[in-house]
Amino acid sequence: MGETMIDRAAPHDSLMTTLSALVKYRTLLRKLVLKDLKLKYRGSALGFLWSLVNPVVMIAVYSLAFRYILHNRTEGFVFLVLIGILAWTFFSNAAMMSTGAIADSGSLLKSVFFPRAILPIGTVLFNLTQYLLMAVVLIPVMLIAFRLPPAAPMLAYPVFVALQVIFTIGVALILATATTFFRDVRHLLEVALAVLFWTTPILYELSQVPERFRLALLASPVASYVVAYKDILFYRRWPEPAVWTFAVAYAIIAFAIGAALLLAFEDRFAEQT
Amino acid sequence: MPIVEARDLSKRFILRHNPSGSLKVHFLGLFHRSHQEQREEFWALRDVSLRIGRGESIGLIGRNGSGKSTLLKLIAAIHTPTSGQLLVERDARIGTMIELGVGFHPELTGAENVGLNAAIYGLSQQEIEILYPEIVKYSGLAHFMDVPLKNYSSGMHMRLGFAIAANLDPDLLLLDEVFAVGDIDFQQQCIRTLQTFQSQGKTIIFVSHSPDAIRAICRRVCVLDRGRLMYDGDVDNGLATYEHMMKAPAAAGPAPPRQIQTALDLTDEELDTAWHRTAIGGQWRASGEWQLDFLRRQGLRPNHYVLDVGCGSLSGARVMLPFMDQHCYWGYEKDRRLFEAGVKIELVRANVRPERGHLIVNDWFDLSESPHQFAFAIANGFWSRLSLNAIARCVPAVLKKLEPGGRFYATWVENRDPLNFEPLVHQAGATTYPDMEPFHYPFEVLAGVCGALGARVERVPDLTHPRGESVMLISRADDA
Repeated sequence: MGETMIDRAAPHDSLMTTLSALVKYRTLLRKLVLKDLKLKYRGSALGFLWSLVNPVVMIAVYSLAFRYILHNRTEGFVFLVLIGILAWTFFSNAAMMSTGAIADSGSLLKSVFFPRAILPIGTVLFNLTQYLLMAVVLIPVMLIAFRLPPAAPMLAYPVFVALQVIFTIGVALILATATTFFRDVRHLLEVALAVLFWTTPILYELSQVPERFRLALLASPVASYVVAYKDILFYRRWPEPAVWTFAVAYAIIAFAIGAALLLAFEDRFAEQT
Repeated sequence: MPIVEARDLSKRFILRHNPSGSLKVHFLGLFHRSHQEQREEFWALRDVSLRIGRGESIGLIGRNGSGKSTLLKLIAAIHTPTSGQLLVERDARIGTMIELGVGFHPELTGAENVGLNAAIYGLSQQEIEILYPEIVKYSGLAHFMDVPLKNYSSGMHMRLGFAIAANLDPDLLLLDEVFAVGDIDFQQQCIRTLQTFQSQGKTIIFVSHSPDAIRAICRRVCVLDRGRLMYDGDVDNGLATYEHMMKAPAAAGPAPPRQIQTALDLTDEELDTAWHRTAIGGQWRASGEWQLDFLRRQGLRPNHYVLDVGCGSLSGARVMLPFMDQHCYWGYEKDRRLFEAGVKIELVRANVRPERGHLIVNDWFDLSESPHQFAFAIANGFWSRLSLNAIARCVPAVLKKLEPGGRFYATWVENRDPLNFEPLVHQAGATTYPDMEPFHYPFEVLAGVCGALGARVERVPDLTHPRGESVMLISRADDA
């Protein structure tokens, strides 16, 4: 009987069964991402162009403020800020959206079974799609504008994007799970993101920071990814070992904690929401 | 092999007053008791045991909050059981219609929603593309598929939801009163679909308050009340039990006594669905009359001492007490609630005084209260309430109290194939099981057990039992 029957009362979800369930439900994952994209751009005349407006305006504002008010003369400031803003927007939007991924899906959770991890992962992939769309348009424009020819270190770009995706999925799983039990997570996250924005070298370069703070800043969760993108795309050099280490370590740690939390608590989602 | 089997299944929910969804409540709770989260336990299901075979269609009925939907959600893996076991066939495709159109988005078109909804049920893109034309055809909404769902009427909304769920081709379909809101046409379409499912051998578990829908679809009914399974059997008795239950006020306290108190004023037909009558297997009145009739044919006279083993709610005592001489009837029962229902309702209604005989209640087959040796003993229907171990305890206990040459008759639900371990569905619609109540047994197994206990067993060729049970005669081996 043990072979052909599953006991619903027995703990059954391991990481492997969840991963294989995710593979089985990949159509759902894709459709959730498409749904969010359609909902975002449907009915607006400019559609996807609006997504480009936001980073372009932000970069314009920061450039004006830094260049003409603070007299910052960093070379390639516009491109550097763009790289940082895009990567940061991906992370912070995904994190904010993920808090509601499970907590706001109560009726769905209560009436259909599907792997719960799909919801937070879907929000990350939706934000990844937006990030990639913007990057595909804006980064080549900048490379041309700054006359930067392709270089070997640019090959590392997809690797760091992948690491940031894994890291962000881990964070999303943590936040989605935590929010179902504590709604305050959203407010805490807003505060945390405001702090993280300035501890991440987005509007400044790590090289402009006194040497003794550099490692501490690099240890800020999103910093290694942003520094790596700037190294790869603008400075056209391989990221330093410390950058690799932090990027890989944060991806593994966040994903491990997120997966463990989700597996431990997913049975209670339908009752909590 | 059942597709779903629950063993002592229980589900507890924690109701939160002042829910600590926010840290503020946690923080204030440190200082003020009144701000602390108050938790209350709520048992949505309590010790439910149930076997559902492939191809069965089962109706779950009960008042709101009786645990019907919780049972569906446990089977669907939406909630996790608190205790007990819930076995579900590993490879069964489970279709849920617990809430139709959940996950629909008003801004997306009908077509987009079909795709998304089917994906939520686990279908791949390829499967969705194959099913899509079927779904559209079934829903009758072909002209509206490119219209955003916010422009649909609630009826169209539901039609689309049902069309998706109906075309997913599940092995096991869980339905939670989803089409009660639709118009007659839609309801009939739903019922036709479910009947098609049945003819394809699919299993259906159907929560409904509509007797017509239950009758149209189900062949077995389970009545739940406050999380407990109160009845499991054929549709007519199940619906009657439910109707009867709904007449009684939903007060606190265990259910059976409440029914018993109202049962005094009922007609016999109404009472036939009362718990204490259905619990012994039905045919309450006829079964008691058969019992006396049968014993008289075997030579019972009013001055014999007779032992009614498992006298239950006293269907036999009702006719035997007046027939037998004073103090000659002895009844034994292990279930006090059944027995009390018999004394307080049935004997009162029949105007029979229990003092004419003697009644023993304990659950370990202790008959030492009786100073007599009996000429006759009968266990009528008792063994469908007993496990094999309990029967093994019952037989020697009774034989010990038989006079030399005394005869112990037992009726039982017979399973004619000792190697068949499936539930049996009987003509009246009741289902019996090899390993849970109500039990059925092969003759050879009972004969073997009795033989091992030093008893002689033979079949009695009697086909008159109102529930169609077989009869055997058990006597002491040393009598021969």
